[in-house]
Amino acid sequence: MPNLLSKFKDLCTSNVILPDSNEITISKLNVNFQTKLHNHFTNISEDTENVDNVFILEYIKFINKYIIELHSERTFTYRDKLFLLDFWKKDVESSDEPSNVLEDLKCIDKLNEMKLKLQSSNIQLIIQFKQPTLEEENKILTFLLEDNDNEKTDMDVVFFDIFRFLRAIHIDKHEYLIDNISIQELHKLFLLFDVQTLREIAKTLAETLEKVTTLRLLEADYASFY
Amino acid sequence: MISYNDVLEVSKLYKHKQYDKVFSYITERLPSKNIIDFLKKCKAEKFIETNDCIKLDISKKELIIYKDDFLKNLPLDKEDIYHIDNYKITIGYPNIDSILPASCIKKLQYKDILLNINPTNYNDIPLSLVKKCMPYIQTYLDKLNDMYVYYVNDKYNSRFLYNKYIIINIIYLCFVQQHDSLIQQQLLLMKQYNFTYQDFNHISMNSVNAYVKIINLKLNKEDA
Repeated sequence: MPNLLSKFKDLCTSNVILPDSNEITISKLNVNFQTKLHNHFTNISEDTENVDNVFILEYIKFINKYIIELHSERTFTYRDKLFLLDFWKKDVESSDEPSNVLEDLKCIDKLNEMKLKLQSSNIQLIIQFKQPTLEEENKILTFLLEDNDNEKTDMDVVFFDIFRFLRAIHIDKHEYLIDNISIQELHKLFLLFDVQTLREIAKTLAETLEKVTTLRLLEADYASFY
Repeated sequence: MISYNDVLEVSKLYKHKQYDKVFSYITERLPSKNIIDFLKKCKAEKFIETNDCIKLDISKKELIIYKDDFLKNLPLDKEDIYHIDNYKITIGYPNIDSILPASCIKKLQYKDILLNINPTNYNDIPLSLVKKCMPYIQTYLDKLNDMYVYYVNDKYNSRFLYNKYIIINIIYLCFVQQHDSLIQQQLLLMKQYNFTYQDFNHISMNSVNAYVKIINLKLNKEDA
């Protein structure tokens, strides 16, 4: 009997080379992962306001935490996460389709070079972008999810999905580095942005990351491994 | 057996909206091989005598559900062996304590090595294998979802869906009573008829109801 269990353990272990974090030994997804995910979701009441948004934010946080815990001493990036999600998805579906994922993920590099100039209420804005780490993403998610008074509207998802990619904001020649701002302040800043400006930033991000659109959707699809 | 004290406890938990505890309390009291076995045990505990029924208030009317109308189309328990990749996989109805499809996998055989799957070892099964089992697992889930919690007629029925909330609702229908009335009844029997609290661990709800009926008859005669 233990032979078969160790066979499964062997089957579930794999060495992969991550795009930003080198080679790593990881577990393929197994029932243990699904059980943890199930237990994580069990604590969310279906009566919660905007429960779908809560599920999305909680799922992204869960996946980030799961990846971080694979190797706590490493700093995993957004690109590493998308690579792992693709790897796990293909494994679960036993897909032999040839993959261009490493090539496609190179589009994330463009974020560091981009500068988006915007005019908002007579103020000139220049937005600079970056690739977030999973720890940075989870700081934003923790802030959003721990605020029990907040009903987790679509705007919270928008805040997460845009502001995790921001490196700096130049407002009328003053540079504000996002790393120097607390998440609370960042959220207050987000609330000052008009919809048109947010739309422009979201459009720029979507165009830049177009090649990984499917993976970006997978990132928030809480039913994909359930 | 679900005792009077069990009903008392589970009714208290339900009253305080501790639904997960209601679920775990009853599943611990009724150890079961799988969900079919569990539902059969719930039904057997609830419907002991011919006239036993569940009463529901629906649209200001009382709906009475008898044994034959409760858990209608409950499938017969069965397991089948399927050949998937190089494994012989035994699939059956899911366990009561796991809502995950993987709990439909009961045994795995690779060459001459057989592994009985249980909640302590099924965590290592790769999701890729579970995914390959899904078409077969789905046939069991479909049969479960073909069931009714109750079916009185075309107008008054409630379909079953394989999820924890529906199972908690079935537990509610079978075992939850008015908590305050249960305590009053228990106190009366302890005060007037020398029952101890422990006695109620060994007496069913039906037995207590029978005692109370006799007591009431006796009291009515005395009054007359």
